[in-house]
Amino acid sequence: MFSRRFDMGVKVGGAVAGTVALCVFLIGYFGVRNDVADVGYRPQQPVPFSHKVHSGYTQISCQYCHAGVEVSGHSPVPSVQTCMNCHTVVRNESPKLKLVRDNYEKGTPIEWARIHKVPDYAHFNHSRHIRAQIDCKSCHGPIEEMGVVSQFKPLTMGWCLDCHRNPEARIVGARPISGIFTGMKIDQKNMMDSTFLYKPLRAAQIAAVQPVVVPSYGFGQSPVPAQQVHGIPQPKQAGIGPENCSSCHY
Amino acid sequence: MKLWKSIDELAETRDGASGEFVDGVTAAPVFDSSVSRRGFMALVSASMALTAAACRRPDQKLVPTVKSHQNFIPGLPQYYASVYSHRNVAYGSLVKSREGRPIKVKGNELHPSNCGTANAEMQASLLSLYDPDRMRRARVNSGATSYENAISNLTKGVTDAQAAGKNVIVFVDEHCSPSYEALMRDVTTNVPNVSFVTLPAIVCDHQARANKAVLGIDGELVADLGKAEVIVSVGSDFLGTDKLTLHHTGRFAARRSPEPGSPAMSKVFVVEAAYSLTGANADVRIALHPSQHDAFLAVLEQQVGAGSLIGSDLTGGADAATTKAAREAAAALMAAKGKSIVMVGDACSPRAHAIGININQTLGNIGAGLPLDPACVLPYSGIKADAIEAAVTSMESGSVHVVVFDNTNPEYSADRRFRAALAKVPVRVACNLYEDETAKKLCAVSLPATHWLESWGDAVCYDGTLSVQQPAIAPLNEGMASFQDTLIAVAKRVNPAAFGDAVTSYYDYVVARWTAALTATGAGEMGWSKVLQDGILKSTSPVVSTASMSIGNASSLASGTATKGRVILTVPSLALYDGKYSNNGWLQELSDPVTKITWDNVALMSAKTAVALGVASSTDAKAVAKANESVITVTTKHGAVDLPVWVQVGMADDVIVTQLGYGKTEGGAVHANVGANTYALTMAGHTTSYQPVEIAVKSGERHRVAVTQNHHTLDDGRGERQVVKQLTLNDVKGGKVEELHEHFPREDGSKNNAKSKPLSIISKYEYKGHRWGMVIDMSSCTGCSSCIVACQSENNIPVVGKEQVMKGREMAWIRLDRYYTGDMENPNTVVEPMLCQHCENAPCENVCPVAATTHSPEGLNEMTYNRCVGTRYCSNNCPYKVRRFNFLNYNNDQRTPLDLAFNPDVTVRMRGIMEKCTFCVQRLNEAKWHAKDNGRARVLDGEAVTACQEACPAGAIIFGDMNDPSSRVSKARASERGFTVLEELNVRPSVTYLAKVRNIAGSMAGEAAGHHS
Repeated sequence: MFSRRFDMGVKVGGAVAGTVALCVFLIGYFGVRNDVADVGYRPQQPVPFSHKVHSGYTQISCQYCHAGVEVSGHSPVPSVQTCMNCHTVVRNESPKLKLVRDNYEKGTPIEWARIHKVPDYAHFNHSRHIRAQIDCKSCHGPIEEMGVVSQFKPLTMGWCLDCHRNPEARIVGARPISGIFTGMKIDQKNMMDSTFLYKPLRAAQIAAVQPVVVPSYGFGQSPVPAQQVHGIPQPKQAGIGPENCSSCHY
Repeated sequence: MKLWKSIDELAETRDGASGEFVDGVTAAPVFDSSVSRRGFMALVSASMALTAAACRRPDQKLVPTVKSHQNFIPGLPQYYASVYSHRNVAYGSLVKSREGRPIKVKGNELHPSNCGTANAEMQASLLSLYDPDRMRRARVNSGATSYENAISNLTKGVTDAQAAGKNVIVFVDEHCSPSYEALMRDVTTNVPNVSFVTLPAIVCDHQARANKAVLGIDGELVADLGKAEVIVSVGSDFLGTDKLTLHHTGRFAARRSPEPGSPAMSKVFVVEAAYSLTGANADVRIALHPSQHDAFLAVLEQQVGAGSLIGSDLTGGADAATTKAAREAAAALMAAKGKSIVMVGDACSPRAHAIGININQTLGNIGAGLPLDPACVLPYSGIKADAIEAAVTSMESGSVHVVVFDNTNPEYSADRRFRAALAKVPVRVACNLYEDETAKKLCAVSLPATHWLESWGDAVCYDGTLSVQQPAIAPLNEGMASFQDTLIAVAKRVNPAAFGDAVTSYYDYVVARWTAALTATGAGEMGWSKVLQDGILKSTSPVVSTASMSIGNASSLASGTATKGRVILTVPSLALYDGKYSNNGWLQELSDPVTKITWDNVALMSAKTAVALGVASSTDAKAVAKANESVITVTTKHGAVDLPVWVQVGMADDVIVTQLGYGKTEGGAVHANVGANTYALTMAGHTTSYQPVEIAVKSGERHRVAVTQNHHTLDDGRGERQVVKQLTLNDVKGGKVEELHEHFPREDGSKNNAKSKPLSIISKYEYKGHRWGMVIDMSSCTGCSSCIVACQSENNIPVVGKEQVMKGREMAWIRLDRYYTGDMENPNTVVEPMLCQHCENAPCENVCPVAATTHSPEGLNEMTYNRCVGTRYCSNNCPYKVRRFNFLNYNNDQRTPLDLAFNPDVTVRMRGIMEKCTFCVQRLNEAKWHAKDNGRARVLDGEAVTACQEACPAGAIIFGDMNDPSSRVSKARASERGFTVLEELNVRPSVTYLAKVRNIAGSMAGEAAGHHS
């Protein structure tokens, strides 16, 4: 009925259109859907530990458990002993803590499910960011709101570079809630807003927050530099860290 | 001046183009698995289905500790000061540990014998810690058992011996531990039928015998080459395989890099039969048959005017060449009285050593503060053969009931008579790192020993400095204890009163001894902490020599072990030494700096010897090149071994040299079927000796040797590219250094007389912050190969194996290019360490299709592994051939727990990835962080140290910021001896080389400059 040439044209055209459509779909799917970049990853943890309780309600500094994050590339996960520092006294009968108590007695570690992970070939260093006064929440999100922690940011290279190139628009100003600089509770509402929306701090907001206290714990020989704007520690605005390949890939 | 790397090159059997890449380097990998096409498709579709199903990465666990540890933070390294005992030489070490596992061994700057540097074996011993072939469980007969059960067996043997009135002999390796020495005495006191015999794999007492007779010192003296302006070595390989080479290399190199401002340099004469590393560094090298060595020394003794001659009867044996060489050396020595030294090699006779002492004494070189200080004695280096001989006699007589081996392997290294005597002993127990020949074939009971990084101990160094060996990790398996712990446990079982209640382990024993000594000096408890922190304790009372010359005793010493005619010399391997760490891939794959051979020992001989044996038809290079790899059977009166022939230029005729440490049959997968056991050829009591030899050619048989000398060549194959430059001391003194440099035309076409760079069409990039650069002094570099292993350990460089090396796929980021100049009879050697030059106009960067290799604002040529797709275009375009491609999954295919030796700060590369030197960018980043933390914008000079620089005992590598005019690297770069390799290509390397200087007459400056029209 149709000429052979037309027939071939339809076939080739169909194949091309199909390929293009597949490409568009794949790019769209993986480009738009953040969960393929692990955002929202929320694995079940062996112990029903709540950051909302510890970080949000009781306002324990992040560094109490993640001690050493300001000097090490890793953010250390606390030992069982760290849990027991408090839980020998506080809620020491709680069935939720049975695993912790058992592990402590047996001397076996707790195997937590890892949530945040950059690939081995990318060397992310926590201490450099902490020392540049980047708040934990800039990357980890509103941890103090999370009953079960999930990944909040994609942790992709593009995301890293976006921030390195335009930090003012991306970084949440150093916030007391993370406890990097203090455990003092201040103006939580304002902070929440800016956290979620990732808006740069406005002068009015800055003026509203109270001065902070530099912590006395930690590693005395490695003082955290304190650049402050209106009394609030600020991320460095200039020389925001290198962007060349071997800064992270080596 | 023609440069050549191999006989093949002289023979022109290999043209320049094909030499750039070795045959087979790009061949597709052949897998052993027999997966059919259909099976392959099934696998592919299955894996695709899995990929589709698994959009998330695999679940990972975070496993923190149970208890918190003080000063332990994951991600931060910890350093432990310890000490590495290279047999009886103590090298102070710093062990870098991450998350509780040692990942790097480097030198301790405070220790006098290595001053912060490290040799290949010391650094590579880290890999042996994680060796999967190490013995893990104790064994009794053929079954695995508990440690307790095994030592019960040993205890029963000792008590049975006591009951029967028989003896127990413990064979220990050479060591330098005062606590171990004391422990042995204490064990003998508590259990009187136990005796200890030091049984090194390589026994050589000649120096100790001569010293005992002539100076009254039972031990080997340690020379200070830094005080010697003239060095005459007779068969001594003080830069290569002798003891304490780190010390010697450092002191030697300090006098080897003259600058026009201060043109002072030592002069080195080397008389030898082999072509040793020391010979390769000589100014005047004389190849002499070993039968002439004693005569050479005798003539030298006569010529320097010694009062009473030890070798007066030997001078008659000297032929014309020997006499001429001795006269020349004597003249130089006489001009440097009190500032010269004669070094005599291990293979020389005791009398030769005595003559050496007499010459040094005559020249006024012996004494406190002089090149040979009799107070500097290598610990426990006294005569050993007599005790071994006595042990053999008592074993033969049947009076020995038990023998115990502490890291000794006589079944592999001892002679026939010794092994026959061992067979007469009813109970044999081994406590070795591996289930080796001795453990497997002789011992019913075998205990796993601990590695030095797992055990306590101590060591004393030649100047009396003490150091503690502290473990950096617990023994990898339970039921593993150090041999000293086992000794204490067994002694306590045999004699419950032994050692008292306070001492239950060797740790207790060591601490008790140290605290007692420290308390005596008033240092007390804190003193112990300080010692652990520093790693050393300086001797408070200076060592005073008891030496007194008595020439008369020398006449009793034997002379001339080498006969005329064909002889073989067995020397320690430059990589494996005596073979203790032979199951170590880093050492096996380390190219011998002279022969460039990996993974094998060979029969080295001169071209004339090859012709005489009939393996080569003539001494023409083409014929000689064909002789390599043919197999010969070497027979001495002690045994016979098959070895491949390898023609080594510059050797004395009628001498065959082969290396010890190869040919293990038991105890590991790495060293299995590698080389031949040449201990079979050696004489009892004198392992490194010249033996008369019979040779039979196995016609038609060939043995492939993995040699890297023709790999990664950056010359044109005709030796016309001046990739290395040489000068003489006269050139430096006479201001002829200028002639070294090429004079590139200016823009107007006129020739520029000043040191100039080629014109460029590329606009110059301005480096605003740091600009990293390196200077390598070819004049002080001896080719010791420490840097190669340092880099391998720091940067997770894989071991590829012999087959892959033969295809040119070795992965070392820094290699030592060895070039010869001159004829095949006695060529000179230049060693050029070659690594990524971090070119300003890097040719690799332009051609990468995926921008995986880029330029950093600090002048680094960066390699981004995750971007690389493996086109290998960059490697093709690299003029220095320093890029390495992972043809196979070398790293991922490693057996556990070898992966624990990886440096977590460096990515482990997979198949299909290009890699190369990064200037240790992980260390640079750390240095920058450190600077920032201290409120500095810049890294201070000396804060950023590359791994190769850190290990280099010669101090030949200087690294730093070229933008800082006061930095060491900037100053070194400004040296008139400086040149960049292949400057005419205008790639502008960040690595500057300083021309090699030879202390010989004449000029080499004119030859060095390649004159381009």
